Amino acid sequence: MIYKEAIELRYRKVQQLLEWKRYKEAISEAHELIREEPEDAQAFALLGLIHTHAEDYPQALHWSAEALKREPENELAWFVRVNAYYDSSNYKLTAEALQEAQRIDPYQPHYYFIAANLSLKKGNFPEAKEHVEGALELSPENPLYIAMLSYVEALLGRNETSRALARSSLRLEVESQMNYLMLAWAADRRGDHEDHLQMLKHAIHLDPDDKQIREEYIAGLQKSYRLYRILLAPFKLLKRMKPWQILVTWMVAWLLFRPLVIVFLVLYILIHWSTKLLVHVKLFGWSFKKR
Amino acid sequence: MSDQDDRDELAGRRRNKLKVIHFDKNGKDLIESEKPHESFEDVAGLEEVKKKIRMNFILPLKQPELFAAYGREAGGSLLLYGPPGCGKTFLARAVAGEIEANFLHIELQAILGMYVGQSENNLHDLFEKARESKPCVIFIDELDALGGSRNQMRQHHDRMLVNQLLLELDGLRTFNDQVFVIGATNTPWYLDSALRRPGRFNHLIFVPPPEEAEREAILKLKLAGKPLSSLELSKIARETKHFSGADLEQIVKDAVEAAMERMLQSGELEPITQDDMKKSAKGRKATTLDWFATAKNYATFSDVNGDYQNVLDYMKATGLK
Repeated sequence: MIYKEAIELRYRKVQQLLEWKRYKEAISEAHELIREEPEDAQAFALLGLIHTHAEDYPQALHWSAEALKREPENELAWFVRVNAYYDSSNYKLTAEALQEAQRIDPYQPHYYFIAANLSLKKGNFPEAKEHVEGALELSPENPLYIAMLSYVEALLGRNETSRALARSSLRLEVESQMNYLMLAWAADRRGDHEDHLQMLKHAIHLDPDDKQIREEYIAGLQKSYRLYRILLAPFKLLKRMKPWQILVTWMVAWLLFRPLVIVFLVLYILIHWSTKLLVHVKLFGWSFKKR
Repeated sequence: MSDQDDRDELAGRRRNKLKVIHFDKNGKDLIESEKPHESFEDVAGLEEVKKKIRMNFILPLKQPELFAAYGREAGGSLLLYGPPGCGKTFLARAVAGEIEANFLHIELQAILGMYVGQSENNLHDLFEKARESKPCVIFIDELDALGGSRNQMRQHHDRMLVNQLLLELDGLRTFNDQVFVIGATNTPWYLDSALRRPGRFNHLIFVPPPEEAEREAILKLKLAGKPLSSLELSKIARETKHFSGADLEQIVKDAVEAAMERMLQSGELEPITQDDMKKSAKGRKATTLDWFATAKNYATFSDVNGDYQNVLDYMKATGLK
C-alpha cells in the first residue's frame, strides 16, 4: 500500500515538474519511476511525453516505442508518437500514427485537431473544417479548437462567421499564446490588420521565447505599414492559385507589362527592406548583430 | 572580567554556532535554520549588486530613521534573478550574514512536496517557524516553482499555494518586523505579478555571471589544495567570458579528471597543468548563454515595466549577442 502511494506520489511529481516546464528534473524523476517500475508502460510513455515537451523528438519516439513494447495499445504512448511526428514535421508518419491512435482512443479531441492541421497543410480547407468540428463535438468549449475553426472559416472566405468564432474563443481564454496565434492568422486572412497585430502582441507578451511567435510578430509589425500591405496584395492573390496558374500569370504579366513588373519588383524589394529596417530599429535599436 | 561576563561571552559564541533544527508537523522533513558566517566581504565582485542590496535592503534595516527622513521604509523582500550557477544562494546567505539573522533555506524538493500531497499549511508552518527564530531570513530558491503565475496553473490547489505565499508575505509586513524573505529564480518572467507589488518582492536584483577577476578568484578557490603546476589562471579567466561559477567548477573537475588519467598511466602524482585547464575550458560552453537568449526575448518583447532593462544593458556592455 505504502509502495503504491510512493509510486503515485512520484507520478504526481513528474506531472507537476512537467507543468512547470522543468523538463530536466521531470526526466530524472521519470527515470526513477522506470527504475522502480521497469515493466510499467505508462512510465515509459510519460518519459516520452516529457521529451516531446522538451522538443527532443527522437527521444520521445524512443521512449514511446519502449512503452508500446510493454503495452501495444498504451494510449499515452500513441499520443506521444502522433505529437512527436507532427512537431518534427514528419507528416506522413503523423498520418499513419494518427490512424492507429484514433482507433485506440477515438474520443481524444486532440487527434481531430492534428488531423485538421494536416488537412490545412494539404490546402484542403473543407476537410480541415470537418476535422475541427469533430474535435469540437468532443470538446465544445475548447477555445483553441474554436480559434482554429475561426481560422478555417476565414480561409473559406466566411469572414463574419470567423469573427464571431474569434469572439467566442476570446470569451473562453485570454491567457494562451497558441490561441492568440491562431486568431492572428484568422484576422490576417480576413484582412483585419489591427486585430492581427493585436493578437500577435498578446501572443508575444505571453511567450516571447517562441521563435514562431517572434517571427510572426515581426512580420506583423512590418505589415502594419500600409504601403507594404498594398505591395503584398498581388502575392496574397498568387497564394490562392494553383502552381500552373501562378506560372501562366507571371508569364503573361512578363510579356505584356514587362516595365511595370520590373518597377513593381524593385518597389517591393525597396519597401520590404526599408520596413524591415524600421521594425528592427523599433524593437532592437541600431544594433545589427546576427540574431 | 567577572565569571558572569565570561559565561555570557561563551554563551554568545556558542549561540553563534547554534543551528535551529526541528522537524515539520508530520515528522518527515527536516527543516534546518542556521546562522550563516558569510558576509559581503566573502562575495567576490558583484559590487553594483552589493551596493544596490545595501541601499535598498540592509541600510534601511540598520538605520531606519535615516531612511525615513527620505520617505524610505525598511522591509519588503528581495528577489535575486539571473542565470543559474552565478551565486544567488551564496549572496542570499551573505545578506543573512550581514544582518546577523538565521537562515532558512527552502529548496525545490521541499516546494514540490507541498504541491504533491501536502498542503499550504506547511508553508504557513514554515513562516511561523521563521517568526519563532527571528531575526530570520527565509530563502526561497526556485521561487518560480512556488510563486508561478496563477493564470497558468491548472489545479485549484496550486493557486491556493500561491495565495498562501502572498498571505504570508503580507503577514510579514503586518505582524513581523524581523523576518525577511529572499527569493531566487532563474525565470522571473514566470512569477505571478502579484508577488511584485510593494511590500512583497519589490526589490528585483539581477545577479550577473562573474567578471574576469571574479572568475580568476573562483578558479583559484576551486583548485586550492590540489596538486598544481605553475598556472596562469588570469589567462583561463580571460578565455571563460560569461561562464558561471558552476561552469568554472566543471572546468576544474574536467582538468582534475585529465590529471588523474595521466596519474593512472604513469603511476605517479601528476599535477594539473595549464594545458589541462585550457582544454577543459575549450571543451565547455558557458551555460549562461541560453539563459541570456531567453531573457533577451522577455526583455525585448514582454517587459511592460522595464524590469529586465538591466539585462539588456548588461548584454550590451559585455558584447553578448
